[in-house]
Order: sequence, then structure tokens, then C-alpha cells
Amino acid sequence: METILRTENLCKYYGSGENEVRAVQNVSIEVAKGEFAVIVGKSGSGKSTLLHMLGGLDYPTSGKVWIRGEDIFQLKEDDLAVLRRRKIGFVFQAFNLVSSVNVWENVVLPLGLDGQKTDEAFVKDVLRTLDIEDKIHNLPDTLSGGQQQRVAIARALASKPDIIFADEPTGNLDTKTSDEVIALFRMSAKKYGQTIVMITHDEDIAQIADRIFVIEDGKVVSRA
Amino acid sequence: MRDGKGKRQETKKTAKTGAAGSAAGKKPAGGSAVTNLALGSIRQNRSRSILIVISIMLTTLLLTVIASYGYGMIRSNHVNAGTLYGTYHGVYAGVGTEELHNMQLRSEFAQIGLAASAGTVQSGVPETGSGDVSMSLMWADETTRQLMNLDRQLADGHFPEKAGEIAAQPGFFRMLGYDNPQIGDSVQLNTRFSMQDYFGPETFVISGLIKEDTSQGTSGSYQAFVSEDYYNGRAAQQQYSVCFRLSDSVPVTGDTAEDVMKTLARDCGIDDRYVSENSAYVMWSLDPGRETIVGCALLALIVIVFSVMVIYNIFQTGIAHRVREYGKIKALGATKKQMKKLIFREGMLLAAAGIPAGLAAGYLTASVSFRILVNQSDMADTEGFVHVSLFSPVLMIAVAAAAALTVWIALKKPMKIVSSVSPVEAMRWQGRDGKTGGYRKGKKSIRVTGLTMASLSNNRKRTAMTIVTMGLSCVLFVSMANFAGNMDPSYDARKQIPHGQFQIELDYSLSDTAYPENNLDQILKSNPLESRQIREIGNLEQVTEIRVQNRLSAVLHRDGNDTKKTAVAVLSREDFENEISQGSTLGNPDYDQASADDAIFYGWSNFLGDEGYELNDMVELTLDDGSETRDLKMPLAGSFGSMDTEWAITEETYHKLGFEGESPGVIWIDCAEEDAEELQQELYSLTSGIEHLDMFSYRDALETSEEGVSMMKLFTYSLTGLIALISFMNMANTMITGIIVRKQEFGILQAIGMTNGQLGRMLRQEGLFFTLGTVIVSVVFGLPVGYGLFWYGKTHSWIGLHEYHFPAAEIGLMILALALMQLFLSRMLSRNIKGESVVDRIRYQG
Repeated sequence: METILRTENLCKYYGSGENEVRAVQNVSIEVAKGEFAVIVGKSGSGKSTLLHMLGGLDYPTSGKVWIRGEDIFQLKEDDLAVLRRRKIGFVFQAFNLVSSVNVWENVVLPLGLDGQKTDEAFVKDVLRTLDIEDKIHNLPDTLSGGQQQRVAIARALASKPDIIFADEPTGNLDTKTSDEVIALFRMSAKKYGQTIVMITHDEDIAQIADRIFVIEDGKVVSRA
Repeated sequence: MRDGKGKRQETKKTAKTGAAGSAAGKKPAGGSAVTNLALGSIRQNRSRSILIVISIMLTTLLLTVIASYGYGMIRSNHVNAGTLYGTYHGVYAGVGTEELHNMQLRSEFAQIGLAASAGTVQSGVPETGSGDVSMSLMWADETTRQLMNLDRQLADGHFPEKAGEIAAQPGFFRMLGYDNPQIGDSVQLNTRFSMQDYFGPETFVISGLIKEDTSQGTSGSYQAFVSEDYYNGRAAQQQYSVCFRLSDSVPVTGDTAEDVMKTLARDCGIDDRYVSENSAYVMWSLDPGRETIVGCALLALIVIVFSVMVIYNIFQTGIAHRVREYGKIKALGATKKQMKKLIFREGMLLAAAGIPAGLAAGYLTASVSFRILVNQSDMADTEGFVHVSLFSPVLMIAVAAAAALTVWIALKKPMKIVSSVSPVEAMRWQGRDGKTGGYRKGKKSIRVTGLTMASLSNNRKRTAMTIVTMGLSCVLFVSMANFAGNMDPSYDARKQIPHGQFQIELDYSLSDTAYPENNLDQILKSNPLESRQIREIGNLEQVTEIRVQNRLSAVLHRDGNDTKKTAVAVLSREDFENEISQGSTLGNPDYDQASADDAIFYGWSNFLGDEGYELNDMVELTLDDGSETRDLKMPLAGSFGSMDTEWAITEETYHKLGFEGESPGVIWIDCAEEDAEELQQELYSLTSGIEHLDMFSYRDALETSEEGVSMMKLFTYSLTGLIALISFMNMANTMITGIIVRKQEFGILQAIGMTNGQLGRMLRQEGLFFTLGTVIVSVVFGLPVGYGLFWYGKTHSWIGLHEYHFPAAEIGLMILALALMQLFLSRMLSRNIKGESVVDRIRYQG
């Protein structure tokens, strides 16, 4: 199967000398196209740092990341931004919605920035699935944490990216919605050939993943 | 390279948070814990703190400059009032020995000095007693000399003590043909004591030489001093000008002094019309400088309002994030009072850094620029002039208090927000305006421009506040530009020479009984302006235009047999309108109406009452053009502010009255500016042999006006420049703050795919929106304020203010500067943001 994501000796260190913190150490992993991969590990183990580097949001101290065979850290900053909006979708733990625009505009914003026409039927379908279709005119700060998380997920799905990086996307959701979101991710992955890389603490979600990376003290200690 | 940078930033952030954390964690409760939390917050939000400190510093600087200037002006004038204007409060003219005795008996007069006119000196052509320069003789006693600072003007020798002694400027003697006058030299002058006497030769010995005053040479008048013996030997009846200083026990203020002096005059049997106040000295020595204080207070108030908005805006811009932070502290158990105290201490700690710096910088700026301004003026050259120190501890404390008050007012709203919201609300607080109800209609698709507009409209208050703040500083600039840009020295010069490059006018007396040929009625019989030489002026090749204003002599027939000789100007429509435009008119002067009614106008509105006339009186007079006379009764339709002649009629009335031909009193000659010097020589040689003529050049008048205007402009532009600089810094502050606190939002946008180019475009669009708003605010408010200032200045005859011009160049310059600044800042800031990884930007906490 085609490898869509690959890393080689990926490292991220903070500080120097005695104060050096090795957040991610020599991570070399591969994820195939269409796979549903999860990263599990304790708090502070380096999961989020790894995910940020995989998505090109943070620069590694050393090592490389390839997405569809392209070394992303060789790209110019603007080209990397274009890659992010076209090929990558993000779901952050802290939602990171744009406070000045409403739910609908938040969801279609990556498309607008890319000058693409919005596939309204698809976006509406996603919003319906996430049960926030009646909230499209709301500003983000009027929504609950769970609702904001759903908007963040919808935004990641709206541009039909090749790969979605999600940092505990179901952490703020109830079990039923959480199951629906995971089902949506899987459906979307299947329908559009998308790849999902997700950080989770949820054992049930980990069980249904195609691939699991367990991370401890910045190192990938097991993969399945 | 990027890796290294990222690493460095992480280290810095960890260190910063550590510092804040340790500061906050030293003591768990009490006042010092609040102070520690405030200090921690200041350190953690370093960029914002620096911007607030700069704003406070600039505000204090501006307040210090304004206060120091006001204080300096009042103090300098107060300290130097006596040096500059003499230490006498007033002068009573025409005082006889009996009235003088009455004055000497009264304790209200601390010092009484005597002076008197001791005749005139013949200059120019000896046979007729006419001349180009007025030369008078005067006697002044020691007290007068001391009160009027005359002794200080003595360059050499002493004031006359014996009957045959004289003291004057060397120029006085040069005019009489003594090129190198020295003390002890004998000079022969043709003098006469009064208009009833004939000139006769007299020999004097020069006892003193007075310092040369260049202005006297151009105004064409000289005064020489003689002794008391000389005066007493000639005066049949002593009549003095009494120069006096009131005793300290007389309760006078700048407003009441004149009335008090008039009452005292009446009590001493002196006609109160002959009271003249030394208004400059009275104003500066008695008046606390109320106008200056009010002006400075008004300016300071504007600065305070403006600064409150700037500082409030900076506090408010980052408030959403900060309220969330304060919410956490509140959740840990801080009381409302402690929360208020926390913000108050934070603001005051920043003020403690900004205010002393502003005071020092402001004092330095004010004292250096004030010294330069004073040195630019003539008064600094006056002997005995004292340069005052602008330092006043009371003033500094007052300015510091005003600056602290400014910060306190700016803090009130954030204090209220933080203390009123619940901890949970605080932690979720977004700082939205609340008017949208949390909804936004939005659009189907959103791009960069939509995002910009959404951001601006979602933060309406911040947007409006930024525009108003930036606009206000520009309002000050536009107002000042309106005022300074409209100061026109040529207008001032044109008051003296209304047309052309040269003015040749008749030089005449009105009632010289000894030499009646010098009187206007006699001169008009053989008008030198109609001489062959003057007619030749029209043939000179440089001359492009000649204008003539006719003049008539008149005899006023007042009550009974009382008559008075006077002069009447014949005004063209243009000259008539020109007199109206100079203001201070009485009645409602209208050229057509005046022509239809054959009306007459008085020349000096302030003195109409003294002359014994009222508006609409019938003025009975005989008009004479030198060849024909008319006995008339003309309605008094009004008065102009200040004319060359006492009376005026219109050209149409002149013709209607049947005066044939011309009766020129003034002619104006125009030429191309480059020919002026050459023409001046020609005119001099043409008129040099002709009696009863004076010639003035526009260029000389303009030079004198320019000196005065340049001083005013220097002051205004210095202040405007300072305001512009501070406004610029504050605007930059507002913009930088606006961008820094939104770094996180920009990080999110970039995480979902916004390129640096798109971010730059968004910032530029915002910047241009602010520029447009600023320009609208500054023009809408600045122009009326500026026009008001101009109008006030014009009605109060401030120098050179006449015709209003829209300050297009200044506004254009301001728009350009604003646009460039916005573009520069957005470019610089987007570059600054680029240096960090997207994750760093998202994590940014202000």
C-alpha cells in the first residue's frame, strides 16, 4: 500500500545542556494511505509535539517528515501553508476556532483561503452528522466545549484533505457523539481515501485503529 | 536555522513563565501578593507592558511640555515685564501744576515722574519746515527715566542737565547732517516749541548718546531729550505727561487697573480721556496669565482625554486573554477588591516607570525648545532680560498627578470588568462587544477580505476606539495646521500697503498755524501727487499699474462755532470692502447704500464716542479738494476699525458731490517683483526733490511682518511637530498592540492554511481601513475646530490671519504619512510574526 506519511529520526529538543528536554527522540514511523492510525501515551510523553511536527506546524530539531513523498520541511513557509490547507486537516485539543467568524465560516475558511468553491452539500452533510447544523450562524464562544470541538472536526473534514491530524478530538464529547465522530472519520477516510492520525486516550478507539503507536518519553516504544 | 530559533524561543518562554510563576508564588495572600501578581503579569506580558509605559511616558512628556511652556511664558513675562515694558502703571497726559499737586498729595501714587514735549526739530527742507522724518524734543525727569527704563538705553554720557544740553540717538544727529556725533560736540538745530511758533536756530551740546534702535529709522521718527531748564525756559504754562506707579496698597488687578487709574485721574481733576495704561506691564505684572493658563489647561485636557483613550485601548486590546487569566486568579479565591487592586497596582507600577521618564524628557524638551524660541525673539536682546527656569516642583507634581489620573481613568473599565464577572465567566470571556448576541449572519464563502471585515466588525468597540484615538491626534494636527498654515505675513503687510509694490502718499499736517502750507487743505491746492514728476511714473517701463485714492480736506462744524480740520479718504469699492474685511466695524457698512445715501464713515471705531458722534448723526462739514468746496450734512452710517484718515466717503459719493478731476492722496505703483529694486531707485530719484511726499515699499513692510509671523509659526509648528510625533508614536503603539495580542489568532489562521502573503494582505487591509477612518475623523472634527481657532484668531486680530485656506497640503501630507506608517508597520509586524513557528504563534499568550 502507498505510504502517505513517513518520518525519519525525528527529534525535538528544548533548552540545552543540563536543561535540555528531549520531547521527541528519533521517531521513524510510516502510515499508509487510508489507514486509521492512533498515537497513545501518557500526558507529557511528546504526543502533541510529534503530531505538530507531522503536520508541519512545528519545526524539528533534526529529522525529516515526508507527506506523499514530499519532504515538508524543505518547502518554503508559504508552500507549507498551501500544503496544510489542501492536503492536511487539523483538529486541535484547544479547538482553535477563529472567534470573529461564525460556525459556517470557520468550517469553510480553509477552502476560502485556497480560493476554492465550497461544496455546500458536503459541508452541510458533515455539519448534520456532527449535529451542529442549527448552529451555523453562532459565533464560536457561544458554543459549549463539545460543540466547538465538533466545529473544529467539521473544519478539518470540509476541505477533504488527504490526511487528518487530530489531537484528542473526542476528549470533550459524550460517548454517543464520540462514537458518531469516529464513525464519521472512518467513513470519510473510506469515502475519500483519507488517512487519519489521531492522539487518543480512549482504549475503545485504539482498538479499532489500523495502526497504534505507543509513545513514552518521546520515543515510539511499540507499534501495532 | 529554524530549529535553533525555535529552541531559543522555547527557552525564553520557559524562563519568562518561570519568572512570572515565582513572582506570583512568593506569598500566597495579602497586599504584597497582589503586588507580586501585578509584577508577574507585567513581566509576562512584556510587549504590552512596554507599549503602555511608552504611552504613559509620551502622555507625561506632552503634559510636561504644555505645562512648562505655559509656566515659562507667564513667569518670563512676569519677571521681565518691568525690563521689557517699564515699571509704570500708566500715564496721565495734559496735567497742569494744580492737578500735579493733587496727585502728589495722594498716597495711591508710589512714584510720580514728569515728562513733557519740548518742541519739534526741523528736518528736510529748512525753508518750509516740512520734512520726511518727525523729530521731536522731550524732557523727562529722573523718575520717568527710571520707570520707563530710559537710563538703560543710554549708550554714552548722561541725560541733559543744563539748558543747552541734548541727548539722542546718533541717527537723529545724522539726519541733521552730523555724521559722527560725539559727546561734547556742538550741534545747531532749527527748533520750535509749539505749532504757534516759527522755527529758529539753537545750539546744543551733546551730553548723551542713546543706543541706536533700527526700527526708528524705518518708522521715520526720532526723539531727542533736553533738560528741565530748557523746557521751563520755553513753556508759558507747564503741562506734563505724568508717568506713575501705583502704590502696593492700591487693590488693582489686570482687569480693574484702567478703571482705578481713571477714577484717580478724575479725583485729581484730570480728564479721564487722557489716561493711558501701560497695558503690557499691567497685564503681565498684575494678571496671573489667565488666558495662558486657560489655553494650557484646555490643551492639557485634550491630551488627557486622548491619552486615556490610548492607554485604555491598549489595556482593552488584550483584555479578553487577560480576563481569562484573572478568572483563574479569581477562581483561586481572590476577592473583588483584590482583583481591582491587582489591575490598579499593575497600571500604577507601569505609571511609576513611565511618568518619571516622561517628566524628565518633557522638561528637557520644553526647556531647550523654550530657550530657542525666546532667543529667536527680539525681547531676549533687551538689556536686563532674564531667562527664567521652567522648573517648578509644584508643576511637576501636578503633571505627575494628571498623568497618574489619566492612567487611573483608563484602568477603570478593565477593573470593572474583572471585578464584576464570575470566575467561570471570566475564564470563558471573549471580550466580544455583546451587541451581536453571539450571532453573525456571515457569508457562504469567506476569504481574506471577508475575514478582515469580520474581525473589524466583531471588535467594533476596539475598531472605533482605535480610529477615534488615531483620529483625535490627527484632529489636533489638522486644527493646528489650519491655524498656522493660514498665518499670512503678506496680509499683514497689505494692511499697510494695500496695492502694488510702492505707496507714495501725501505727508501733511491738519492744523499747523505757523506753517499753514504744511496743512492738507493747502497742499491739495498744489497737489504734489499731480506734479509732472509723478505723472512721469506712469511712463517708467517697469510700472505695470498705478492706482489712485483721492483725499479731501474737511472742516467739521460741531456745536456752536467749534470747528476742526480733518482729512477724508475717498474709497473705491475694493478699498471699502478691504476696510470691512479688517473687522471691528460699527454700523453695517455697505458700499452701494453708502453711495446712495451720500453717507460718511468714521475711521477708528474705538474712538467714535470720544469724537462726540453717534451712529446716524448728521455730520456737518465743508469738503475741499483744493479747488472747490462743498458745505454738506452727511449721515454717519458707520465706522471702520482703523484707517489712515479720520473720515471716509465712497468714490461714487465723491463724484456725485460734483468734485471735478482728481484729488490724489495716495498712489500705489505696481511692477513685476524682479523689477522692484530697480523701480525703487527710479522712484526715489523722481520724488526726492518733491515736498510733502512719503514713500513706502511693500517689500519693507513684508519683511517686518515676516519677522513677526515666523516667530508665531515657529511656536505653533514646534507644538504641532511635537503633537505629530507623539501622535505617531501612539498610533504605532495602538497598531502594534492590536497585532501582538492577536498573534494567537494569526497562528490559528496560518495553521489552517493562511499564507504569509495573505496575512500581510489582511494586515494591510486593516491598516488602510484604520487610515481611512482616521482621515475621516480628523477631517470631520479637525476642520471645524481649526476653522473655529482661525476665526477666533482673526476676530482678535492675531497676526496675519485673514483669509481662510483649506489646509490641503497639510492634510495630504498627513494622509500620506498615515498610509506609509500603516504599510510600514503591517510589513514590519508580519515579518516579526514570520520568525516563529505556527505552534509558537498558537500558543502565544500576549
